[in-house]
Amino acid sequence: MTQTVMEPEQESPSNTPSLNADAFEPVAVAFVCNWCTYTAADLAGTSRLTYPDNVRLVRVMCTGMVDPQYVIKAFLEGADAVLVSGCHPGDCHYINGNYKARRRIKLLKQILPRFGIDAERLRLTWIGASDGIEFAKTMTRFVEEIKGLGPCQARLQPVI
Amino acid sequence: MIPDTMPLRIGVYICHCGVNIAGKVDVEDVSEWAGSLPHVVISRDYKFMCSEPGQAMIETDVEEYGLNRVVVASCSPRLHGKTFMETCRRAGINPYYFNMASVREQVSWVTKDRDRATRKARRLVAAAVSRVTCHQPLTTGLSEVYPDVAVIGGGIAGMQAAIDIGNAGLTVHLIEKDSTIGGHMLQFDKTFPTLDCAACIGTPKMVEVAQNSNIELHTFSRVTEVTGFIGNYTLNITEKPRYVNADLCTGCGDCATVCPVSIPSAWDMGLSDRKAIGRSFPQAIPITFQIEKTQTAPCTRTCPAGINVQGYVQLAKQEKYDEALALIMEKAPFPGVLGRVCPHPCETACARGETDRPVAIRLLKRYIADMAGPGARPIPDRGDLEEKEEKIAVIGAGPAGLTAAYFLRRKGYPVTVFEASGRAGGMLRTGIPAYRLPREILDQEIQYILDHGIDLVLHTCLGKEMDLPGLKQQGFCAVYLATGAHRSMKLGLEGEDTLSGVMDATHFLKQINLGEDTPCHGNVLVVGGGNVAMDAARCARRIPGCEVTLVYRRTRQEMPAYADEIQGALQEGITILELANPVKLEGDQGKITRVVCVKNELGPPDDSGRRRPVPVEGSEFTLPCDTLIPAIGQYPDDLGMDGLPGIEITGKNRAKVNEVTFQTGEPGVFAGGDLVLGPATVVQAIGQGRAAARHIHEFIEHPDRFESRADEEMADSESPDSTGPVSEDRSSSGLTPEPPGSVPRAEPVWMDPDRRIQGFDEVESCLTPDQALAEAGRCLNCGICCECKACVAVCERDAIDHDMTARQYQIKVGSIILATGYDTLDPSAMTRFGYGRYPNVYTALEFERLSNATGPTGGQILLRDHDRQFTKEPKSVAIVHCVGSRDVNFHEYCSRVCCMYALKYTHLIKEKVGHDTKVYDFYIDMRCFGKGYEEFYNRCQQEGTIFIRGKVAQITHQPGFDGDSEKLVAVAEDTLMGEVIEVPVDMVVLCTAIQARQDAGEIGRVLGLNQGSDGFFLEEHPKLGPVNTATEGVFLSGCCQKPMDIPDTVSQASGAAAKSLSLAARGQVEISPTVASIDPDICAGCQLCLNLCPYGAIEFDEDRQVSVVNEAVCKGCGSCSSACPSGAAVSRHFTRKQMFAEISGVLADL
Amino acid sequence: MIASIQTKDHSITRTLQDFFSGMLKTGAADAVLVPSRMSDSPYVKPCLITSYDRLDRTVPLSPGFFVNAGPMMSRLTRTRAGSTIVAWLRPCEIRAFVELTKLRQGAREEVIIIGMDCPMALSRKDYDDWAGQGNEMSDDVEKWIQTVYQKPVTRVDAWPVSRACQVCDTPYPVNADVSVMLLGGDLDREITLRADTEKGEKLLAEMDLSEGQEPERRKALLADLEKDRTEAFQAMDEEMLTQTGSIESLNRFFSACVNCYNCRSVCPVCYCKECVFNTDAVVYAPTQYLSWADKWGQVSMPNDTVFFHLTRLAHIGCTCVGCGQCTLACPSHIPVSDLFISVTRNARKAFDYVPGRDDAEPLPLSVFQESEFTDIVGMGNKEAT
Repeated sequence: MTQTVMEPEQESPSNTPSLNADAFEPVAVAFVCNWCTYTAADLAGTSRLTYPDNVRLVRVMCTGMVDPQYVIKAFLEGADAVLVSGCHPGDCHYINGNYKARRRIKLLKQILPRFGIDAERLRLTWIGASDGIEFAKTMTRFVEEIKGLGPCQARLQPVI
Repeated sequence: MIPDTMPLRIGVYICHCGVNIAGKVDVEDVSEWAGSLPHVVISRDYKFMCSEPGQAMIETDVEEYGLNRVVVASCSPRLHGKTFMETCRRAGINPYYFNMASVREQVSWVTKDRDRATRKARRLVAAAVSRVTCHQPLTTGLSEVYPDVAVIGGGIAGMQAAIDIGNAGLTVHLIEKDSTIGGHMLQFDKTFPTLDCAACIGTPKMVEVAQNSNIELHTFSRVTEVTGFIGNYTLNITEKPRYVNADLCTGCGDCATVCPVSIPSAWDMGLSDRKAIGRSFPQAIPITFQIEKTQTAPCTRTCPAGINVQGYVQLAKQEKYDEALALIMEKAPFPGVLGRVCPHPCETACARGETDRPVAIRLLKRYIADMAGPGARPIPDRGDLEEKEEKIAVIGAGPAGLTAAYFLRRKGYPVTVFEASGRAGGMLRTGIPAYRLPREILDQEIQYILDHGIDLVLHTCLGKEMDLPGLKQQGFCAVYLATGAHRSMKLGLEGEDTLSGVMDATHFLKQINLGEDTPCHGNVLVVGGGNVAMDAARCARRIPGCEVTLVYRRTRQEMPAYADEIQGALQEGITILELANPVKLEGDQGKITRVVCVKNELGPPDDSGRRRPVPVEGSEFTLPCDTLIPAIGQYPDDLGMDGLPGIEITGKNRAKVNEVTFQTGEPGVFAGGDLVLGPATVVQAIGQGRAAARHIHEFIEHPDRFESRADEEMADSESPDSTGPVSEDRSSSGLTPEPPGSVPRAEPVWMDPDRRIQGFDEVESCLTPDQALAEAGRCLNCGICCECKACVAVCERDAIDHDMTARQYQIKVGSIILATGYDTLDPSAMTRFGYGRYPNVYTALEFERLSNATGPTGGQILLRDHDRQFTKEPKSVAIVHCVGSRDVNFHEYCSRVCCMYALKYTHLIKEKVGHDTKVYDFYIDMRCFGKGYEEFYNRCQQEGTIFIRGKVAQITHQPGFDGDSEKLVAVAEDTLMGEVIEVPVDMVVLCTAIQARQDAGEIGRVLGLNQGSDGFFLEEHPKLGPVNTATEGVFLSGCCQKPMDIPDTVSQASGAAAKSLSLAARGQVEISPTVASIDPDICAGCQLCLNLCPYGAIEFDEDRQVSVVNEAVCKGCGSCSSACPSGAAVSRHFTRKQMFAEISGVLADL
Repeated sequence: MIASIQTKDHSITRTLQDFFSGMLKTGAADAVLVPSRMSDSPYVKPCLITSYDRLDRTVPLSPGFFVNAGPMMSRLTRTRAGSTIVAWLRPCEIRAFVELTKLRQGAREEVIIIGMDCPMALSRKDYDDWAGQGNEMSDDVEKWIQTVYQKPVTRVDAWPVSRACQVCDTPYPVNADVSVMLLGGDLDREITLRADTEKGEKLLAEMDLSEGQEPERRKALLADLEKDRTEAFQAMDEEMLTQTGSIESLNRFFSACVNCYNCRSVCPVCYCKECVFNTDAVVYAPTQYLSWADKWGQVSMPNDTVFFHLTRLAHIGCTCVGCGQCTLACPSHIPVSDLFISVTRNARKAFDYVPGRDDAEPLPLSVFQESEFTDIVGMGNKEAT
């Protein structure tokens, strides 16, 4: 499993981040389902797997509960990226919530890029309750990829 | 509007969790900073918020500062969320006015840098505070708990749980998929470390389960579906058929002694055999026997007469010829005939044919028919049959007619058979030559049928001496037409009818077979490639001075005749002229002299799939011919059907019948055999005869609902498993008969061709007794149970019911305990250990059976020879630890029990085989963690076992030398000596890993449980909730959660039982209020939510035109709220407002 | 079946009025829904008419289009009324109604829909201007009709048709019971109608009309129209991308928006009884505004402007029928429909969905499959799980 070593950062990950990728501190929101990904996050913690601190989890009961509005809201509030993560297909605690989520994310991925919100800034993953390692890996990779994309416009001026 | 008119007063508490959080997060800073957040009245940090004083602190603050919201930043809400909600409740705040930030699992434990950790902690706290301001008070509803409990799995875990609950006075359903409870533990010999025998401590538990009046046992049963919620579950259970009635079976075992079918015993890990009817082990509970069946064997399914082939073959194996014959006679009264002339489709279907060659079924049938004593064919005395009034006429004394007559007569009907010719037998007599079917056999079997009291009227031809209206007048209630197909097809050549010397095959054969004179002589040309042509040719060959040539328009490959027949013909010196057919007959003074033929070549296939012969231009040639016998097919005679318009005759002169009932258009008049099929086989005719008898009986018994029943049967016959009871799930033991080694098929002795053509003596000899036994032994018992019904015969309680079917029913319970146990890893995949290749490499479970007093060797530890027969005791044994455990290629985890049972084995070997036996124990690390385990380790060390620290790399073998038998060689690195060693031993025991049940996923889905990456069921919390699961009211016990030994299993089972009991004792459960609701004032009635709800919890109120949530059914997944554009549908505690607040919170600037 | 109506004294309007009154007289319809003037003002609105002497004010083919009749249809059919209504609808109004029926906001059973080749519409400002010309409006209407149906046009005299109409890719009726085929027709002589359903057949039969046939120029004209409008759409699409290609520019695009939500109230597929932006969900605590202000140094009031429009895009992303009402209704003259049409027409492609195409086509977000869109799952979209 990959343990990530973070550079101790210079300034707070808030407004006016420089576009220099190294210094750029992404801020991301992850809507994670209570039964799989949130459990995996707990497991990652119990297993002391370290990963970047840039992602803030928002617990939902099921990814099927994630209203497209939440994703839009998160971007307008200044998130550089949004992750929605739930149970693997077939494992959904509520039978099929993850399938519904997938369609909604698809729609958003059709709309948001029109406004310069790169489709890559919105991610959907399945992380099972026992995938603590997978969770940490995903977080690390997620943050690396956002760094590549640089800060999201909405973070730089108020469109809220 | 702000959710609460009361001003917000929030208390924030940061937990140090010892150093778990404080070590990484500057808790003071976070606490101080949180104090500056809006509405926060008091903010503190404390060592352990979950501790008594920690919770007390909150309660006093609520009192002092008039808090109406509480936020705790500590561990995961999945761990202590409920704890603090309770605290709030006690403090007089609605528990849903509480919110939690996970700063341990999500911050201190996963973040390297202290400043960053602190900042993230601030963020999460900010979000939690921001969210809590939007929380709304919710009140949890209550629902009755159904007191009964279901325990799934009847191993030691399940039994213990059931007993504990039963003893507490509650009804408990113990559901076991196997035919007995007991589980793996009962397969063991001794148990470590105390070495008391598993049976001695296990069977009493089983008995206790059986005798506890509160425990309802559901063995041989599976849970197929679970609905409902905590306190209120409904289980769908499917009980597989045992084919033995549990209420009647006394477990005497008489049935097993007579059962001819042996299969490897699953209980003995295939080291011994059991009978198709049997039970796992003598102490099984319930004691009821059970029959292993898979689907009906292919041979039986294929037989047109529906004879139970596997059945009589098995009885023959036991030399029970009379019983075998009786089994055949149940379906066909012509065993001797079929044993000789049946085209045996069964052999084509025989599964043995896939590995070497099909079982010689026809020859076995003949053997049975020839061997069965006279007693085998009892004639029912007058009076045995319940005589009936209704007279029945059968027209045609061929196989179909006689069979129908036979079965009708046995039903008690007075039957009269009308035959046009002078002898009964039909085609059997006129068509089939004596050298294939000796007349005495035929006469014998016909006589037997007639002896039942059937009137045979000869020389009476339908349409001539009698007609159907006449029969009606004579008072016959039903007529069965089976007049056969005796008319030969014509070549359609000029002179065919005028020239003498031309005679069709049926006439010729009739003359021969009835011993009449025949003008057949000289050069005989037989035209055709079917069996009739062969019969004709071979008969002609037997007439002195006849030279026989068989002319066929295609090649031998396309001939419809059976291979044996063609072979026989050639042996007897018959010339076969392929790819030719006659085009012109030449005669002299009205006598045929020559036949002009044309050569053919094979063109494209016709509809029959065979390549069509195409004449070659100018290839005509002439053959000298004194006798021409066309044998190109037959069709039925015209019937005197006048006066009965109801009977429809098709183009080929066949009678049209209802394909189920065989009734013609004329009520009461049935038809069958060649008359319906066109020229077909004996066995088909017999099959039709019996079917007709059944339907004629039906017709007479219930004329009213006859037609409708016919339609029903029609429907059935269309349903897939119309071929009798077929179902994949009928075999409970995963074991099916082992794939056979090749064994040569029995061949009959054929009379020498030169002698054959001297006359009409039977050319094929009967099998010898040895041949017959060996041949019957070749049967694979595809159906496992052969349904010979020998068991039914011996069972004094009439407990056996071969037609039993699966039973489905429901039970209602308040909670469910899952105790489905484990599988052991099959080491075949690890070829380096030679398991399956070397007979003396055993798995742990196999060794348990070997060492077990009720096992295959009665508890002796023995070696096997190459035929896998147990022989002598081993002089040396290697025990290999961690086979599949602690191995990245198989299971990373430690199976926890192997070290200890390995030690147990070392002791048992020393004890049973002798202390001089060399025992090598190859271990990686010795894990003796339990009570008395280390002591046991020491004891075994003192017993002289050689412990080698190192994993065995492979098992090879070396041939035996100077008298010593061949050895296995364990190759390993001794990591203490640091050298590779090769240890020759007689026996190797592989300590195979414990792994999750291979069907765990199934039951997991049924119960909504997740499996960990290792396949075991995921507990609610690895430490604090090992028996709870993500599904409320479903608890885990035993190895379905993780590998564990018996003591742990038993304690966890009692733990799970306690969980269920406390739930039942509480009597009520809180129904989480965090479900959906729909605001009727906002709902537009679009019903998007209704279609997306996975639980059908939403209904549409037609009057108000709005959707409504049934809160009892809703599980709060939020599919509806996220789909509702207006926000009419709301997931309580996850409202948009609350989500927005949290999102703004996590993204707020610090 | 294709029928034809003889044009009466050179007036299509008159001819259609008679057609409607025929329906009322014969009882083929209990009521007709047709755009009509209430007084002598030039403004037309869908009117439900039961007495045929009221028909003289109807303007079946008018460049004025200030209300999409789709939602009116759902008001009329939400529950059974027991009488037959014949509705005269523009293609985009039919589309809207079809979408609404999928959302259980109406039913087709009791209505007979007559759709027509679209006469297009003028922007509000241009209509005022156009209608201001000469007080005898009917001549202008006839002129308009004669112009728009003879060849593809984007303007009539000085007046350009609205942008939404210029880019509309389905200006002919789909899912109607009767289609009125005006394009390329010799309108001075006759109007041809085609029955597309049994209901339609029945209606035309009851009106016993003479046999007719589709104007042979129509197909060609439709092809031309499609070509022009595809180009027009692409142009608009690119324009939108440059104007709203980033959140920043989107913010600018809506900078004149005052959150009046008119666009929403006129939107035919915004079917909510109460908009989520009128609910407690978006009522924030005062401290929230302050914290936003802190974050960026300022926050506009009212806020949630972009949030509102993006949410609406997500809500009608698959169902927008492109009628252009939102633009017509915007007091700040924001070309809302230009943005919505270009975004949604691209977005719905992913679900191969076209609003109004087929009653049986389920709304994309009301269904799901077990294996679909697997490519969007996973990090970097490589390790799709």
